[in-house]
Amino acid sequence: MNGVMNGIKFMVDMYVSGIVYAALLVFVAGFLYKVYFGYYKTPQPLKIPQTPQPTTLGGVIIRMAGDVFFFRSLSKGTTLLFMAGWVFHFMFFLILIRHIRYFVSSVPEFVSALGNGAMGIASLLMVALIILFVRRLIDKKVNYVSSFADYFALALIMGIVQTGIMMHYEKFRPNIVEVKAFVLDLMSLKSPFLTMIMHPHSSPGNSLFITHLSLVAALLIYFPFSKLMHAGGYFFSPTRNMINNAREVRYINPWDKG
Amino acid sequence: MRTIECAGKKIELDEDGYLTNLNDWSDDVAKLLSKEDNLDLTDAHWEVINFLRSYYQQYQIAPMIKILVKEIKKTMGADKGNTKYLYQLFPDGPAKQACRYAGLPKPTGCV
Amino acid sequence: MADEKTADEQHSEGSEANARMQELLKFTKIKPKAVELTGKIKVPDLKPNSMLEVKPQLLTVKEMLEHLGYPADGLVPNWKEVFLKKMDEILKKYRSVRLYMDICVKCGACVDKCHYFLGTGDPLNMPVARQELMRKVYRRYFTLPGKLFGSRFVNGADLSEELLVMWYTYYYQCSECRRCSVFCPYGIDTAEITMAAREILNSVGLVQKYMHEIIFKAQTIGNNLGMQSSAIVNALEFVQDDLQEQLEMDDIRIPVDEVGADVLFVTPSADFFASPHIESLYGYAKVFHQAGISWTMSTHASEGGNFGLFIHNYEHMKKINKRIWEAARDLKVKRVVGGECGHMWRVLCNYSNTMWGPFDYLDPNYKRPQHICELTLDLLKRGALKIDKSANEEFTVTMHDSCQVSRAMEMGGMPDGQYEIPRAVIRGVCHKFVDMPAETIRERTFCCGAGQGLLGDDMLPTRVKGAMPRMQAYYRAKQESGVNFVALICAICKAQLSKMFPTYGLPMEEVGGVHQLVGRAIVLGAKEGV
Repeated sequence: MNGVMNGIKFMVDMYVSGIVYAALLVFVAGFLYKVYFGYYKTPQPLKIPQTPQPTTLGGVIIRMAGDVFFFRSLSKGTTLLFMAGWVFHFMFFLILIRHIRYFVSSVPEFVSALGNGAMGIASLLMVALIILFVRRLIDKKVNYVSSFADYFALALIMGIVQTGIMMHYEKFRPNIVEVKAFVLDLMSLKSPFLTMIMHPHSSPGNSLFITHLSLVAALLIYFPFSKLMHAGGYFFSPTRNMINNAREVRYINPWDKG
Repeated sequence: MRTIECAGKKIELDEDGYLTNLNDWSDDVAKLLSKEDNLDLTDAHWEVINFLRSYYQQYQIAPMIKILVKEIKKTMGADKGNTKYLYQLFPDGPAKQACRYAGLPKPTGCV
Repeated sequence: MADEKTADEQHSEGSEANARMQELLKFTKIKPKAVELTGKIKVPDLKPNSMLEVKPQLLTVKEMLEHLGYPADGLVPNWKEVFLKKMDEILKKYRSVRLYMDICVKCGACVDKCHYFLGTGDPLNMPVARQELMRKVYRRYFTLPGKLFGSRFVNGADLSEELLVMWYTYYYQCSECRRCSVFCPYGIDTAEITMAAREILNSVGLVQKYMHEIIFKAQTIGNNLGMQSSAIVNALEFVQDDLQEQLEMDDIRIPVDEVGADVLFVTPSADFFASPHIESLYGYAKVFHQAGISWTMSTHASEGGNFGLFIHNYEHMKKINKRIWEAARDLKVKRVVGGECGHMWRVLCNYSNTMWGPFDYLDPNYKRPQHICELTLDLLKRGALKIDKSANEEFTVTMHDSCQVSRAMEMGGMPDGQYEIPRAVIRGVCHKFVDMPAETIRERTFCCGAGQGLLGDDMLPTRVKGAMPRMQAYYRAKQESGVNFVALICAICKAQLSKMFPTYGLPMEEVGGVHQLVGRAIVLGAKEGV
């Protein structure tokens, strides 16, 4: 009996460690590959910055910061989409920060401070996701352009958030000390190799935690092959990141250097 | 593309009804084309058509509208020397409709 | 499989495909219908396939096609191969296209922003849906999952004749005006995608007539109209005579090809041919004359417009642009000034320097091409022009921002210059100026409905429907503020709106150029007694 349990435990540990490393590998390699070879290395022959057109680098940085932090371009259109989109991204970001506490031994003050509002943040995040999902279903125009992949990405994130919220409750809660120990274990340099030679770290045996982690891994693996690449891609968007000074400074076309 | 028959000769028109081959033009062709639009060519129409043709022969393009207006003013009197009068003659616009009857190619560009 | 077929077999299959394609893309004349003007722009319900029938005519003149380097006999037999090769080339040469294939999240910010969608309700005229026509091919043939698992897995599309038809239809119902891109959180520019799609269609032999006929004329004759030098000189001499007669001044001139002039003035050829364009030419001449600037036009650079921009064919655009810089060198001018043309401003200012710079042979103070509005405003501010605003008393003027100017290039080196400078010029010569509703001007301006290669008569159904938002906005300004003149700085806008106004039941005379107003208001009396 003990042997069977040990066997299952080993399989679970292997699975958990395995997906974490596999997902990280696919995510980092895929993301960097796409950004470097797909976007950075592809030449942009002409200057196509779009209005409002900053004529200095500083202006471009301010413009892009406005887009990244406040979704300025999006805010010019539909308010509901802008609000739901912004709340979703910003709350997601706060939740990510909140997760820092699993990765460092001494938790910074601002991270623990976030803890008080964590449930509120997560609930807001969920509401925003539901709005975005329902909007895709009922707005005829958006529905027309939506495909399975669009619902899938939302559903995946909803799954992650939902499992995260559920773990807050005593009934499902994993042992936080175990989780943290496990995460710190995974971060040690030799851990991937230990996993490879079938010596995985012991993982918290909480099924909800494992589900949460699996969904996150799925998201990371899906990331580089999907529209989620907008996260890195935005910074290369020529209508946004170019300085509008073509008359003052000669812009050289990389494949027509004249 | 379509063809019309004029005096026993088959004449090719492009999608917009302009002559494919400018040498196919004759008075009868102009009459035939205008008839399709339920328009009877009067002397005033012919004045315009003939001027367009002679200008085209010299410059390989239709005259700009102001030149046409001035010419009409010269030959037909000051009260007729305006764009409005030309639009009365050729409701689709002198540049396009009159050119079509005159067997000139359709003007291209931002016009 | 294909390898086993003989060349003959392939060829006959190819010509069958071409015959089918010619039939599918056959031009049908559809009578355009204008909606009633209410002053409101309503977002329509989806009407799938409502614009599927509207296709532009194909160019079939072999001489032109060969000159432009496109297949001369319609769809090429191995079109799928050519298609993918061209698409691959563009994806490797244009970061914009490559990136925009990847990063759209289909958030829907753009769905109700396109004037063609607002006018037609055809869902494929929603910018994101238009882009998806290309993205489907991209996902199928240019991504790993698509290559491995096929089109169903990635929601892609296999190349088919139906797909070509959809491309040819809907990439010619986009005027590359970039309005959708303003609202896109990532700045995805449908114009870039449309340009790429058009060039891919060209490469397989589906070449639109209107635009490419003009590209051919601009490269071989030198201007979009195909005016020979003698005709240009005749037209300009006529305008000069007319000016001298009207003003009873014999020293006002329209110089042509004069070596050593200070300014080379480049403007769309429509400005010396069509109405109301020509009225602005009178205005330019008066500005230069009154300011005492020595200027010249050129028969070599007789066109400001550059339709090469409208397709991702850098060579065409570069070749057309070259004439301007050759003329500038040959005429030994100090600076280059551009007239009222929308996309010319974009090419001249955003791209010229990249393609033919640096312009070290120009006056170091004017190393950059200038816009006529910049020049005129500067003169107005310095008091170099004597203005009688009452000459325009009959007008309450509004301004339609042309898409390529308002969303591409600054003017005067200052933010919002492209909106403020032409407006300042108008205010400087008129008493009454009123803007149209805010969501239809400046960076959010609606295209006139015929920009970037859609001005042909074959596109009238699209033009009439696409003009709807602009017409409603104008009508509202007319009702609320009594506006009776729309001032323009683009030849395409002038041609389109002077056709659309009567179509929508408004007088054609309410359309004109900014310099038409300037020309009316300038008092040329200062030189009396000289």
